[in-house]
Amino acid sequence: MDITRRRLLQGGALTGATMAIPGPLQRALFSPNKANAASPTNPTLVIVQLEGGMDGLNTLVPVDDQPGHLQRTNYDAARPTIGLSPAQLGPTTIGVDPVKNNTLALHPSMTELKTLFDAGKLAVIQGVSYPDQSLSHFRSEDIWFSAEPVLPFADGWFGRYLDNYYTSSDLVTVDVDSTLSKMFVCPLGCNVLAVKKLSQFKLPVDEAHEDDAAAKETALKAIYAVEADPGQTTGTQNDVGVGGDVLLDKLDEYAAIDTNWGSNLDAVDGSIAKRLAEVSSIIRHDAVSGSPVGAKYFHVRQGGYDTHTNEGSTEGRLASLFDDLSPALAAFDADLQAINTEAMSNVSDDVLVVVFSEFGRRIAENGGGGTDHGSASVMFALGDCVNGGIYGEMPDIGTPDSKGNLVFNTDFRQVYASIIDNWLQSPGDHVPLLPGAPFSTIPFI
Amino acid sequence: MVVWDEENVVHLLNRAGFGAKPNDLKKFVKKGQAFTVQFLTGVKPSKAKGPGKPTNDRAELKKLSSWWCKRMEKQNSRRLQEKMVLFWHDHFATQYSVVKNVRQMSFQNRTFRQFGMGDMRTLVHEVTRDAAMLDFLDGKTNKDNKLNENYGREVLELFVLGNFSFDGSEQNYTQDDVIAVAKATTGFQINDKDLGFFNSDRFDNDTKTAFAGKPFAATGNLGVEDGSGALLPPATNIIDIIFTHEDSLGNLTMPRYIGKKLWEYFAYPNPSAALIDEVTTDFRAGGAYVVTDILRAMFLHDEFYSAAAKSSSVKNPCEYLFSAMRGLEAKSKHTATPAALEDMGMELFEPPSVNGWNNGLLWLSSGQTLARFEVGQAVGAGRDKNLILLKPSKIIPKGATTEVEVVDEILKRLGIAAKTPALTRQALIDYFEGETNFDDDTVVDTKVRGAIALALQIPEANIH
Repeated sequence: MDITRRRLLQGGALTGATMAIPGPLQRALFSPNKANAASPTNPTLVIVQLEGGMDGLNTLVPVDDQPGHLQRTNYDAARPTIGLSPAQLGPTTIGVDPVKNNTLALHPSMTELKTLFDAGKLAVIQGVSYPDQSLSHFRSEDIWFSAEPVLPFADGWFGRYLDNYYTSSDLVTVDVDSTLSKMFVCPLGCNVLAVKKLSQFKLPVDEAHEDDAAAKETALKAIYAVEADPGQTTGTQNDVGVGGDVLLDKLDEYAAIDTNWGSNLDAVDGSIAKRLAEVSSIIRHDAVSGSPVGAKYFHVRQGGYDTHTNEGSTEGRLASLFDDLSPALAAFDADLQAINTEAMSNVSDDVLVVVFSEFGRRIAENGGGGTDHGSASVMFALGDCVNGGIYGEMPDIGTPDSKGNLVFNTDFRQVYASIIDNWLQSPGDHVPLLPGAPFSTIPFI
Repeated sequence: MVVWDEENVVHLLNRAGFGAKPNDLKKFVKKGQAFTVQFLTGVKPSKAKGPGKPTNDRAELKKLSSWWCKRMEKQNSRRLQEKMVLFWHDHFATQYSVVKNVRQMSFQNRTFRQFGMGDMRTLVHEVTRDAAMLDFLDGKTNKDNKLNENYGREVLELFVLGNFSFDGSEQNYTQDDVIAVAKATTGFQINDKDLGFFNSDRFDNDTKTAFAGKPFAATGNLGVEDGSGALLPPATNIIDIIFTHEDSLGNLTMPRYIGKKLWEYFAYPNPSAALIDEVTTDFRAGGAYVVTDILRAMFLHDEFYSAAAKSSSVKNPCEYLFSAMRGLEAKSKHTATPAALEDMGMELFEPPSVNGWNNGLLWLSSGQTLARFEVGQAVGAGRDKNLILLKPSKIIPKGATTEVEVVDEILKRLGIAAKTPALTRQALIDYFEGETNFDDDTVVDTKVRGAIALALQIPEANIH
């Protein structure tokens, strides 16, 4: 069954409708700090997912009004208790909206990201979403995972990417999570490791009979070789067999990765730091050891962004999340710099971090000091390869859609297309992978 | 009618409970299908409630989890009831880390035991005023003029209707409907005994319209209850109104949504609409909506015993561990089993989101596969009363002199003898390396325990 082809055709049918909607970015009012297109030797991608719907409007905040763009006045009116004041935003002010010219600031908890922005390593992409916004977490996640905003979920955009460029025995992707993200669901059988901690890569031993461990390991490997054989098993039984066989095959390689090498993330609180530390340990291992595992695509997740209540301003649920996220991303960057030194090569030039959430939140705060589900939000791209700056246009706070949400103006698939065309592969390569393609790319890399 | 043999009994007891003990097999084969299904589905509601102090102390939560594990592992006639408690916990998923109150979680757990096999509308009403849910989805802050959409949205999307019609072609509701439901469910609060109640002073009494423009549109204040605790009359309360939702062809949405979810949980993915309409016939008759009517119809349906239904599902961690314990007649105080379940990805009272656990193959991610290897090893080792106590001498058939007899007994007890490939069975036999003196305690303690551990690590032990 040629599923890729089927999807391609569906994508073609949608082109007219989707291309008509995102407008402003095609006018390309960008202000990149660096002009060079990236040319990585081993392009590595770290996708950071902020689960629950990150409040974009308290992530990148308008600080002032501009003629015809009363963004600050409208922001103040919509957010009497959770609004961030211009004074609070002073230290994290990063620049101006390329279109509306309003001064913009990051959330006050993002001081580390402000530093990275000033260093030209952080791109902030505004107004990102997709047509006919779903306000359901799960539907919207499915849309981001599949890059398919119309049809029910079938497979993940990165799963299709892996199917297209790798075989099922290539293990190049690690989801640092207990279960596999739907982003990696693939029609042709790509394999992705999903594991929260590298320390899990070991087989159990009966402590009363350690001398029997080798016999057990031999038996287990023999069994999974049988179970992975399509001549022996079918269906779910075979799926489980293949998964276990691939895992057992890679076990020793991954078990050899040193996670106590002094990562900068070790000193950062929160689960996102722990998960990013697994990623930097793998990147370091592959850069400095003689036996790389070959993983170069990663997914990590930070939950808790569904701030219906007690979202807060400088303190509160959102600030706490950013208090974990911002130093974690900075420490990850510091890890890459340390790896450069240790490996005596520019490993960091090859690593792109992209941050997304399934949607933003309602413009007006609700009765519980929080915000309900919304639409357009901001994305981040981070790394030495990034052309730092503010991209796109903040949607007009004063003219929401009929549900009180921001009207998006950058399709998230433009960001995916930019990643595929300008980072992982070559211009035009996103077309068969993204329904609704072609999309115009954004020069943040 | 299917031939009522041990294979079908194992299948039913795996799905409608947590596995089969050796003596279950002969007993239920002899009693027949009709008796067995009635035995499982004919139970009365239970008000059993686990320990639950009004505290945010994880040690207390562990006591509640251990109590529930014991029930899942041990209950006989109420095994399906416990399975339904787990099903509804997955469906009306609520996280302790948000609720932060063990008593509220224990009340919710009891609600599923008491109402989980009865009238679906009562269940949804009870969940609407359930304290843990009011905490988790912010219902307690949802009041007149200060709306919070969180619960209203999930009632429509996850709890009763789903986003789309059965064939995926129609959106079931709009944002306006979410707001109407959010307004109609304003006014619920939590009292100092950690019980939910309706406070009419906080209710949005305005006239609202749900499902505007549809044949089943309803207008009124749409409130759930009047303060006495009883549901308002059917045509006026929002729960009954949601239950009247139909697709454009006139098919009721809720029975298809819940019917499909139950079929996928108990049998296999992507059932046809015709099959779901068939197994929900009694459920829909007269608008009674008794959940057990779906369960009974499923377990009596030949399709439930088809090859697809017997091998397409990955056991969830509770099913995996407790079916192993039943089959191997192992014991536990269950003080350590909640942690083992958590390692395998199923921390009780902590589903990953309001959408519940990711069932199916997603249970067997690399990390969780390794965790199952650990748990399989721990069951085989079986020397820890807090986790597993297992006597290997029980597993060795009387007078056995070959490893073949032992391997076959293990596979039989796990209910996977027929599914296991011959070469896998051979690898288990080879693992003994000829050590077959089962009078030698060291051989038994090493190799019989080791073979049990290995048998629990193979794909067949993980699927059903």
